Amino acid sequence: MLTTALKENLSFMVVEVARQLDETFDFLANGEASAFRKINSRDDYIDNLKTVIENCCFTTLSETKAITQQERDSIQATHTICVNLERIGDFCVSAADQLHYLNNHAILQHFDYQQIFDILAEHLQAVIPVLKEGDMGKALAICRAENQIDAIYKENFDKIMEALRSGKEIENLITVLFIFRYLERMGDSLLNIGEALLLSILGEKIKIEQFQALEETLTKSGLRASLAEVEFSSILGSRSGCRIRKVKSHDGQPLIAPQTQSSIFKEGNKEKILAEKNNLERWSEIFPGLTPRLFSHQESEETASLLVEFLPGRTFEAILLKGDPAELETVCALLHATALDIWQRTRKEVPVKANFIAQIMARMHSVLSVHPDFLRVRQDIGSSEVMPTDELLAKCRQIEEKLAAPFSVFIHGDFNVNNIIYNGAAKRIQFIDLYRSREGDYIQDVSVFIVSNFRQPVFKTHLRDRLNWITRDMYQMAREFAVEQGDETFEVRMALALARSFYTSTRFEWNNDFSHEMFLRSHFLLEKVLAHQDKPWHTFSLPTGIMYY
Amino acid sequence: MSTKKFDYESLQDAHSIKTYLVSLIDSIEKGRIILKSNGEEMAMRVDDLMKFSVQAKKKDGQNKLSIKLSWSEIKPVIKEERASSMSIGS
Repeated sequence: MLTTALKENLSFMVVEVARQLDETFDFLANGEASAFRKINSRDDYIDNLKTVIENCCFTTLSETKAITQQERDSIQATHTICVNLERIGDFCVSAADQLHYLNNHAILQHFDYQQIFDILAEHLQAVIPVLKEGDMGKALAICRAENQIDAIYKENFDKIMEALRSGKEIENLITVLFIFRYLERMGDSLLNIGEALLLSILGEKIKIEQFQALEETLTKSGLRASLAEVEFSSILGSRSGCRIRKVKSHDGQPLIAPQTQSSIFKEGNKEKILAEKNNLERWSEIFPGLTPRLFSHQESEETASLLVEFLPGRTFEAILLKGDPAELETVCALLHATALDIWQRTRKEVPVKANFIAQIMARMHSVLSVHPDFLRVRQDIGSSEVMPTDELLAKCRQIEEKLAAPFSVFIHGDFNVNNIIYNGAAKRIQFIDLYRSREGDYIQDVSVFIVSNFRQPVFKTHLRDRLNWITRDMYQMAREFAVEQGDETFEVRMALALARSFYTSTRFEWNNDFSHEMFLRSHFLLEKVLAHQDKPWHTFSLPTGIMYY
Repeated sequence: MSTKKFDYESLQDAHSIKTYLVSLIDSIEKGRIILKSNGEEMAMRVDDLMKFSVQAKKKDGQNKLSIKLSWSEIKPVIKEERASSMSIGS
């Protein structure tokens, strides 16, 4: 944990900043010149303490061998706290300095700044105990104090505006406004301190708004748990811009229902979260039990959150990389049966366009930000012309216009190997992460699945063999389905779909050789499709070797 | 001296590889190989004599065949001075 020196210095710093606040308050109230000098010299001392603490933090991080994650979090939190304490100290000096511009000292006394000082002093006192004891309730109270300070600021701001409208004491009122503005910014720093304390308790960065969203979602779902009883595991990781956390009660008692130990809390982009909610509802109508149960959802102006069932089991990815071959075969067979069942149940006689090329174009910016050279320019080799990527895409896009899937099915939309769960006890396949589900071309799911296999960063021969046979079986299953359904353009749409997934997946792949391989495969497929444009599409033959590595 | 470079890498099947090779053979026959990238041209005059090498490697199931042509555009300077005109100390 924190070294003694670090703890002591941080305690000193809290004491000094608390004194600085006291002195600043007195100075604003009485305006004695000597008080200002004291404030200034204490600021130097606070700055020094900050430097000492920072050095301590960095030395501990770099010199301690075998440092645990918890210790690292603690040090990071300490550092953030000290930086923000110093800022509060600076704001004190700035607020006090404003008094020199005030001609009429009495005018300041019409406004209630004392409350803000009282709130700051009260919560600063709690910083060290919270850091020591990990009291979540008090950490949250520190975070929420900022709201109180903001409200007081707003009240006084309105009062100042009203006074300004009278047209008197304009200069003095503006100075008063500046003073309040500094006090309001002290509140922002206090919030940063509170969030740093949450980090040291929870072991992860969490914003107070997310915390409130979680609390409201838990309450709305009728759970008995208060936040103090809830335990978080770290962020499960998501590329979709939503934060995901696993939630369970401290004592391991079920929070939701007897068979459920924990649930998943997702918070983030409102559109995505709401899409996921609607899709979960849709899936539970079509295929009850295939997707997690939805317990509750919550919306604010910009964000939304969901509390959904946590599905016990392992991801398909984990099984394909670590499971034994017999188990993997069982799971694959189940997966195929589930996919076929969904396709048959949700099939609608409505032609549907997947727009694979448009999907590439929409993600081109993200691809190029990771791999700036993944775009072919026009080249000539003797009399042979190499078509640039943009032209290739534009031409394939025109071709794709005429290549709608003959029917639609309800697709997963992000059928990655880590969005498929196998529940061994119930012997069933389940799906997660469904915000992209929609009526679509089944080939979209198949191609995403195949490329998510392909891009597993494993290069040992036996694992690669495994990935290759999983790909082959999935492809054959889908192809047989296509034949049965009389889907004549299956192979060319699959070529475009694979080109799309190969190309867009490079944005997640830093290994340059591997991502370059996917980039080349994507272009190869697009060129093949283009070369076939004058022949009937049902004669297009997918070069299947492209799916294997 | 300025350096010009041309770089192209792709995945091809036997048919399209043939197209590229044939267009290179044509260029060699015509005496000029022209390579363009984004409008920028690089022309190479084919020489009477060029180094031609073929290298192949097979390792762990990976195959590699490199065909390389290299030559110099700077001709060796042949000095007009002849050995006979040099004075040989007696």
